[in-house]
Amino acid sequence: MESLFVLALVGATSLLAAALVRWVGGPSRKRWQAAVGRAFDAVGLGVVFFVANIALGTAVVLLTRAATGTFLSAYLVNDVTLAALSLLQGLVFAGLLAGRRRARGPGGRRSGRGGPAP
Amino acid sequence: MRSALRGLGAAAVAGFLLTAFTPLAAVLSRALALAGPLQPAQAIVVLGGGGVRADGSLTDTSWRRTWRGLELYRAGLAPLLVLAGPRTPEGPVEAEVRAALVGQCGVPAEAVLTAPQGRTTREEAVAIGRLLSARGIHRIILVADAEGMRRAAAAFARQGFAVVPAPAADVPALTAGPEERLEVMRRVVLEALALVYYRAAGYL
Repeated sequence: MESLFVLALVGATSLLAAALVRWVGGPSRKRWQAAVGRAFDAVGLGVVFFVANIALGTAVVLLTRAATGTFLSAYLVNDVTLAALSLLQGLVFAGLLAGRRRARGPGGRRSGRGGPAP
Repeated sequence: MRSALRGLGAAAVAGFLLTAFTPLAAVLSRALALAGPLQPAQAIVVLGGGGVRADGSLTDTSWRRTWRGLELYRAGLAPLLVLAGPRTPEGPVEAEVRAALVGQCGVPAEAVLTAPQGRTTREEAVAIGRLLSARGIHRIILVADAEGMRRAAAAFARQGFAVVPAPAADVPALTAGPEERLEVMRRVVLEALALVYYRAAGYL
């Protein structure tokens, strides 16, 4: 029941937002697909950051234990904020990469600072 | 690289939805859990569970495991209750706070043994192994979380104990909604990684 309620809420607000976007002269189907693709890029990069953060954190914990004898708990990396912050890292860096791709243009060459190539 | 990232992102979103909105987490948790019929033993060993909070109260995990140990003791399954848990940075020793709690519940002091030496499951197994071997105890009922039981039981078996698993399980209660299912999956992933590490390190 709780699951259905959550899904229904998200579905309703998504449909409402999509209708609103369409009403103000919304983008084509291709642009919708591109937007979803960019969201997946950001999430994928977030997963990469998440794995890197956990690997680095675990290495620091184990090395500190081995090198100094000071006990650090491996549960230090078991924190939900790490997932949220990794996703944020993914969003920022995916945005940077997308901006770099746009600057290079479709053929991969630089097209200047946002303006059309001469 | 871009398509790999996109595929990874799509897989992560699919995994998130499967975890939050299907019984996948509970199924994986049950696969990791180790349970069998409860049998009498020489001692009930309750592993540490996250320590003591700054206000002196036990964490939820520690409290739940202590309560499970108390239930088993009251059922007459063993004459000795071994309560583990190290000193916390705030000062209190988890094992001693637990001992005080079961004392208030009517367990006589001579039936309680505290084991504050271990900070990890392996350290607990080694410390409690020494403590109980000296008393001629080789058969124990082990209380840990359901997901961690396989690793904990193997660590104690490595110390020469015959282990009767008694999970302090809260998985059925935790699988009611999406947030709880995600919590169970977090435990499952963490425990799977810990199992791999313990095997690689030769602790099991």
